Amino acid sequence: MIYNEEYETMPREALEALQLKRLQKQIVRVYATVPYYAAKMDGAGVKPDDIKTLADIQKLPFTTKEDLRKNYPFGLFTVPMDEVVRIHASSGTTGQPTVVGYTKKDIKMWAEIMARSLNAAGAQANDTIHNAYGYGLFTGGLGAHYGAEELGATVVPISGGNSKRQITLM
Amino acid sequence: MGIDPKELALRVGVFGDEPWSENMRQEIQAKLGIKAIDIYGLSEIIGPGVAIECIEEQKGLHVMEDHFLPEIVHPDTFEPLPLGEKGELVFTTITKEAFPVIRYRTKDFSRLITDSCSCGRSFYRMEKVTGRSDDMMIIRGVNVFPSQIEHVLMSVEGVEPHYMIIVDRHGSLDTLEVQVEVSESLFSDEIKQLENLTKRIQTEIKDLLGVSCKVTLVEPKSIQRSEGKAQRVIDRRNI
Repeated sequence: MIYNEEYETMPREALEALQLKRLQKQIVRVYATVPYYAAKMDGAGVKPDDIKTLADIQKLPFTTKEDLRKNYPFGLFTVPMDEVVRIHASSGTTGQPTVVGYTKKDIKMWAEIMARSLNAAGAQANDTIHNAYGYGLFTGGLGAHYGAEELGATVVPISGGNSKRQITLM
Repeated sequence: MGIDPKELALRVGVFGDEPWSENMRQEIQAKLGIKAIDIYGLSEIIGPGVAIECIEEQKGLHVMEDHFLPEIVHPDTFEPLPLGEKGELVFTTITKEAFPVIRYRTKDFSRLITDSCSCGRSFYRMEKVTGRSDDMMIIRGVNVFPSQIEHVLMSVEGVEPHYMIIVDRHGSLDTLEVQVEVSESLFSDEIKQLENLTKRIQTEIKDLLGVSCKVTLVEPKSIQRSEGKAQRVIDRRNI
């Protein structure tokens, strides 16, 4: 069961050409819109134009949790907040939470890859999906929910906890 | 509740958020009569759906490579490793708009599998994550992940998937204790049998990890349950 044959079974050569095109575009965009990333790239002596092959990704500096913390909450966003339609936050078990944002297009892409995932796991449009991931700031609940709807399945948005009710519904 | 799990209409379970062992999969599949599928994702990249096992193979998770570029780097030097070698997983989001990340170090340990897959997907697979560098304990110089201990526990009849790992230091020596719940029926059994079980777990952990540990069998339901990420390690060393 393959949700998006065109992309999921794309021959490696075509896939790698697509990856390079998308990577180059992304690096140009990030360099132009996020001063922090631009400064890090300048520090490493690399410009967007230096990304000529997929292997050139190795020239770029890494990003760590520490970078995200330093830019809390929205410092690494590439778009103004009016284009952000949703935020989530990581649990913050090791410090302050990390805030992440999504545009409309991001939410659509996420729903699609989650639909692909559910499909790969054996779910189809005529199935019922009992979504026991927590809903809220955690990405699990809404992420799986949108994917299940994109797939066309019936979602039971039970969220986490209350095991007895979970079993009753199953 | 008196419900036979096999009577439920469940066919497949998708499990993610933290590393779970291959033996845990066998246990879930046998007890519920379902297929257990591993899903991978983290909010910094997007959330769940970055990679998924296919039901055909259940062997490695196909990375959605048209949106996320995976790399494996050495966990200490951060040098890129050749395809197929195990190290820290790094992702670049190549289509994400609002919050892209460039070479984000996940701290998750995996390797990339480039072999073709019977499901027909051309995306490379990442091996099931066996641990996070955050969870890694160094016991007397040996790297130990909680998932490896879980793997051993899940292969033993009569113990429950509830355990706590306690690391301490006496003098200059690290100590490792594993507390694990045993089933109701076993707990009321003879002491001799419990002793045998303790020895067996100790031997298997020593064989797999190369470190000796103390195993303590505890009463059913005595280990604290957690919502969300499970707290499985208590490290009392002051280092």
